[in-house]
Amino acid sequence: MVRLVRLAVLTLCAALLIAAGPARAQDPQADLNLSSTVRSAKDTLDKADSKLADIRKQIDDNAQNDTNLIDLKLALEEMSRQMIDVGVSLRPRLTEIKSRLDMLGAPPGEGEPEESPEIKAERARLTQERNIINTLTGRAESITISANELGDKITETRRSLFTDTLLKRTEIDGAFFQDAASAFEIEARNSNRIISSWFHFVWSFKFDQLMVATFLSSVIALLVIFFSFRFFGRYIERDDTVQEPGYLERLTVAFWSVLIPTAALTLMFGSTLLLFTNFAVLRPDVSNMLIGLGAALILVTFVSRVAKAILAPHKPQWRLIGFSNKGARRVYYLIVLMTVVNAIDYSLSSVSETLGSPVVLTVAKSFFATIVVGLILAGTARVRPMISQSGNPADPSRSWPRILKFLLIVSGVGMVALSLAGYVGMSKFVSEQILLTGAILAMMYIGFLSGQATMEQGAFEGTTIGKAVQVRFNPSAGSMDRIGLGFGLLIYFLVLAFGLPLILLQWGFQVQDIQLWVYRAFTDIRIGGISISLTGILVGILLFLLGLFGTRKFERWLDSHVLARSRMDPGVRNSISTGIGYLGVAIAGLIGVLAAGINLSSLAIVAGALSLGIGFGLQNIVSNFVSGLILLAERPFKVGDWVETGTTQGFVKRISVRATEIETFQRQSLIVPNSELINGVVGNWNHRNSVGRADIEVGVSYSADPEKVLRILEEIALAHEMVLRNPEPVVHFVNFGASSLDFVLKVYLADVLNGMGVKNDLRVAIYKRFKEEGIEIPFPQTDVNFSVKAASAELVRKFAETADGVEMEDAPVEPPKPRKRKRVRRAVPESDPSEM
Amino acid sequence: MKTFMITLSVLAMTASGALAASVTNKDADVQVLVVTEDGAKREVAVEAGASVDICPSGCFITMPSGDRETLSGSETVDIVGGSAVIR
Repeated sequence: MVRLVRLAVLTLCAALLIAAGPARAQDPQADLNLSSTVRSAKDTLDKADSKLADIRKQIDDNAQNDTNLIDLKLALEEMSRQMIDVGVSLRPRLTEIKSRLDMLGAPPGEGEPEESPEIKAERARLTQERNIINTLTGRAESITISANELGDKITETRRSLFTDTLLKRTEIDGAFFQDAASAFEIEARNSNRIISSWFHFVWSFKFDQLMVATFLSSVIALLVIFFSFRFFGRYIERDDTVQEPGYLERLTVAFWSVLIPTAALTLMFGSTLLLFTNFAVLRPDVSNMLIGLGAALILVTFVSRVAKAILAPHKPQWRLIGFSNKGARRVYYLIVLMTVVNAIDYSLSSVSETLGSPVVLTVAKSFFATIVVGLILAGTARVRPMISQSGNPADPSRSWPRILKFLLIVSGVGMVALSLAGYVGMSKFVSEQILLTGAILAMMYIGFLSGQATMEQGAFEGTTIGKAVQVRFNPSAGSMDRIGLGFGLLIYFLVLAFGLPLILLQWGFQVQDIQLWVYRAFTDIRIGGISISLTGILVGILLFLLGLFGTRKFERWLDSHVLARSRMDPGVRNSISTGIGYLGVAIAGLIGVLAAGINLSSLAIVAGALSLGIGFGLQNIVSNFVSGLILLAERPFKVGDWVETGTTQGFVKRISVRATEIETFQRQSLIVPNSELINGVVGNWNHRNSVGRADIEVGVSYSADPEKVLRILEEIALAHEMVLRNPEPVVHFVNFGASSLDFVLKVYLADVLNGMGVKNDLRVAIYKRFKEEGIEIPFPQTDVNFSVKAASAELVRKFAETADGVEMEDAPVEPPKPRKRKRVRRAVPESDPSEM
Repeated sequence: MKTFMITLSVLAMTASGALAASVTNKDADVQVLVVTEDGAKREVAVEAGASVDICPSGCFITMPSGDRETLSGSETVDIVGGSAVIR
């Protein structure tokens, strides 16, 4: 039905086309019934074209503004992606057209019969639309090319912008100072005028707003101060009363005493600025100056806090590095002084920038600032901060290590020289880098040290978080140790995640740059022809872990809720849940691999390559694995069975992938590779059932009546409640022994494990009963004959008198009586129930 | 568990080439495609019956038939009669 309607519409269109004739054909897009995707693609392309032209213009306008250039570059990359999307959106229509054209077939050649005008028109129309789509895709393609060229241009502009700022040289001479002085005069006047006019205006017209904003920002400041001291006070303050704080404690205090005040100050300043702006108290120029001032304050706080954290100038017990008291104090003050100079320079620069003062003034300010900082640096080299050999921080100290001293002098003198030579920009860059990068690196170092200290054996328990974990979850010592390790690694990660971007920002990279890198790193790392998507891999791993977790949960649930109620044999239960575990791992692995964006066909190549390796190297492991699967499926023995293999025997504890764990009766664990259990002979006492036979050998004296003995033994066996009636116990008269008539009592037990106890009971019963019945249990008897030669007659006579039954050579006497009895029965190992 | 993780990551590292578009030439002759990727044009020759992996992050292709196709980077493309069949 639909097809019919479509055909009718097409025919109508074709008819209209023909009727419209050549006049309409001049504007092909107008008379074609273009699909909506094609139209919207055309719109997008038109917009992209105009945006491209706009960006081209903006690049030239913003050649001096790094941040804007980055934004433009981001816009260009977005545009390239959009163009691909446009092209992809056109694809279904193109495919449709192509298949329709294929259906219509090639136009008739020379001499072939003419086709109907409808088909001809349809073909013409389709071809036209196909051309339009091709043209649009071509436009998208050329837009990406232009976007890419513009992107390269932006990169180039940014590079030259950076080198220009750094390598710009100003002639330092009398004229320079004169210009600067006059510019400074103007600037001072201007700033004075601006600030006083602003203040008069606000005071007289916006008094209420000013008061409300001031009140609110004071409240916020108070709250921030209160809460930071309430919750973090004990981590910020270095307690004087503590004699010897631990290393981790010192690090913690160092870290928080930097972070909290800096963060609190930033928060306070930011909220004040926001409030003042929101109440329209601030003018843009005044707020710019304020921002410069605030940033300078935050900088001073941060750097001086870091210096204090490491040097602890007045509390040697909290110091993190081996400096003497005097040295630490001096270095600390010098660092603070340098920071203050830098900060003043920075805030004055922002004033100049706001007022649009001549560049020469900014250069002049930085000129003085860099020279001062350079001199301080060189002066720092003269301080003797290192702790003395004795290790007492109060003792006279030693000089810097030679290399450090050299670096300090070189950078200090270098900065002064650079400034004097006119390269003030570079000198300023170096000065800022030394302070800020140095401070950030020092912070990162403290962070790393804390991580390291947390990972030390037993250190985690001492921390606040460690204590909280212990109270809440009460983990074992081992898992506590592992948690500590994980925590230390987390600290490492956080330090890197925060520190590296900060340093990069310091070096003149922009936030957008870093965003771009992170984005690229997570979506698309390209090495040669292949590309790796970190997100894909992470998602894959995450899904795999989730699958694994789910499988374990399911396994446990199935075992405890379903299988336990089915009254299955524990061994079968174990087989089923282990099998499900393997299956779950396999499925989770497959899902993970697929989610990571790995094509299974390319995995096949890896598998092919691996199979050779498996054939040779992993032969044993694979054979054991397969054997393990066979053990689970065929179940020649189950967990809990008593098995004998080779020379060992014991209970099966666990059947795992590679090996089976057997516990001997001595409680020794034997790990037997599965393939040995499959290939070798394995005896199993519990295979189909646990019925087992226990044998008791007993001998009676030749004077006893064997039939009576047979009867008694059978009675005793039947009297025991654990002895099975079917198969019934049997007694065999097995031998005429050397000194006894030997019988064997064979009883069957429902559970072979009870053998030892039953045998014990039976032996005791036999002994008692035989005693009652007067049946003697004999022992091997030995006659000892003395032959005494060449002894004095007196001795022989004495001996004959006392010993009775001694046979004299010349005087035969009565037959001998047993003198010495010796047990020759074999000793039976007591704890071994296998001896039956 | 640890072994599994290592195995998985190794596999992920070795086999991640799968994100690129794979182009297979089903024709009897060598076909030359013009590929525009990252704003740069290049020509890619695909031997008869051979297949190549191109443009992992999307590109434009001009087929021998003159049609222009856009790939987002994960497609499988067959060249049939100089034209593209995209799956």
